[in-house]
Amino acid sequence: MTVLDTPRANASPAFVDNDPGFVAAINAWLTDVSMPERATLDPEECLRWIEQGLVNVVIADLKMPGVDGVTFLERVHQINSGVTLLLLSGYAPEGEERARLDRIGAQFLSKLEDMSRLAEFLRAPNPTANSGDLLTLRTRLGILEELHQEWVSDLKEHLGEMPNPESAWIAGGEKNFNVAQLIADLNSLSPRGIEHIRLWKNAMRSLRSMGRRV
Amino acid sequence: MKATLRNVVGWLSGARRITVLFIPCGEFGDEDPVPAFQAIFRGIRLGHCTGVTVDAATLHLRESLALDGEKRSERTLVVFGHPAAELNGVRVNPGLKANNSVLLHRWWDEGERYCDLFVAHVCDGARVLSRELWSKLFPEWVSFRGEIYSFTASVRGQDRWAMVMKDMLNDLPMRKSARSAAAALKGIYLRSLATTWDGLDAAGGDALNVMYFQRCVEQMEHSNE
Repeated sequence: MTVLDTPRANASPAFVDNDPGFVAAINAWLTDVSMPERATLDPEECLRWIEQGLVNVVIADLKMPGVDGVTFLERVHQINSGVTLLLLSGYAPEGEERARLDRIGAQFLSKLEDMSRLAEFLRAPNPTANSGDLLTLRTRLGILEELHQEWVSDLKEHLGEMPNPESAWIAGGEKNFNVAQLIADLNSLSPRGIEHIRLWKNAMRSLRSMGRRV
Repeated sequence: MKATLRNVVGWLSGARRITVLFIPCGEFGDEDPVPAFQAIFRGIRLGHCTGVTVDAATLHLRESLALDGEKRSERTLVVFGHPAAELNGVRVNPGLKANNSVLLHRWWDEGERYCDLFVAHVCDGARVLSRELWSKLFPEWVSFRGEIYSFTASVRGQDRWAMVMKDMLNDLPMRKSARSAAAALKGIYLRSLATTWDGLDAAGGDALNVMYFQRCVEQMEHSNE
């Protein structure tokens, strides 16, 4: 039994992550469904939300600017011990870090393996939940699923036609990656995968606005 | 001699001249996109543009221009490079005389000579250029917030970016403000997106550049915002 197996009422999550693409993707969906943008690169901003009682689930990255995810979640716990704490990262914490997470009841989620479980957790049905927030959140996650179904297979089909995806490099700032890695990102719905789904969807919207059939 | 010939051709064409700076970074090795853009630039051959490569840090922009046969920058500067980690300048390979790895604002300062328009194809370039010292130096700039991507690892990918670069460098001499330059550049990226889609070559990586042109439109910022 983990925290993900327990349905929540009125889930109002905040995301803190050091990846601007991930933050932008989550905020884009929040905006799509007229919810406040509560994904941020700035841990201090998230702490202010906690102090104001605006969120009751915090999903934080392990690596963040100025503070590590474990220390950040400890600060959240000090402010409000009732907030559900989730550490979402590609790297599993070990030893002392793991012990610190256990002390505050925080759950570790793997970015590669637990994204769909997180989605399930946030939208889990609960007989006591009747708030607009939860409804809207379900809608947001529905959009995520729709994006996944509608766009990913389309994009992967195009990328699948490329020969030697391991040797085809994409320049992206300091995070160059090859096409094979991008396909894996799309399969796992990693932040980079999500950002590319968002870009594909927006590019198709642009094409439609220019009269193209997509 | 070659530079002189280019100047004459550019002058005869009546177009405002552009200096295009390429600032690669050795840390990225073969995956650095800047040399790819440099090769694309060489292929499109535009008389009103002068390409200058800053392979290693120098004491001043003038020094790099002189090394490349140019005496001073033109009033429109276009830069292809990488941001410094501290977002205080453009990353550069350390040189023999100048052992720094960042081209700070003073490197670019040409005193009384001012730059009408500065276009930085640099990830997070907007965060560098919106700093006080930089915005005084380059009051009219267009760049990007966050990372921008490009796929040039195929002939088709290079061809797509050659189309963008050519359109951009032909259009910029007509622009008198960052606002109009940004609007024009967004139009160029969108047109490239549509053209690429119309003849989509999936094996050549067109799906990637369709997304990356879209991202350039979304991430673009300018000094008049």
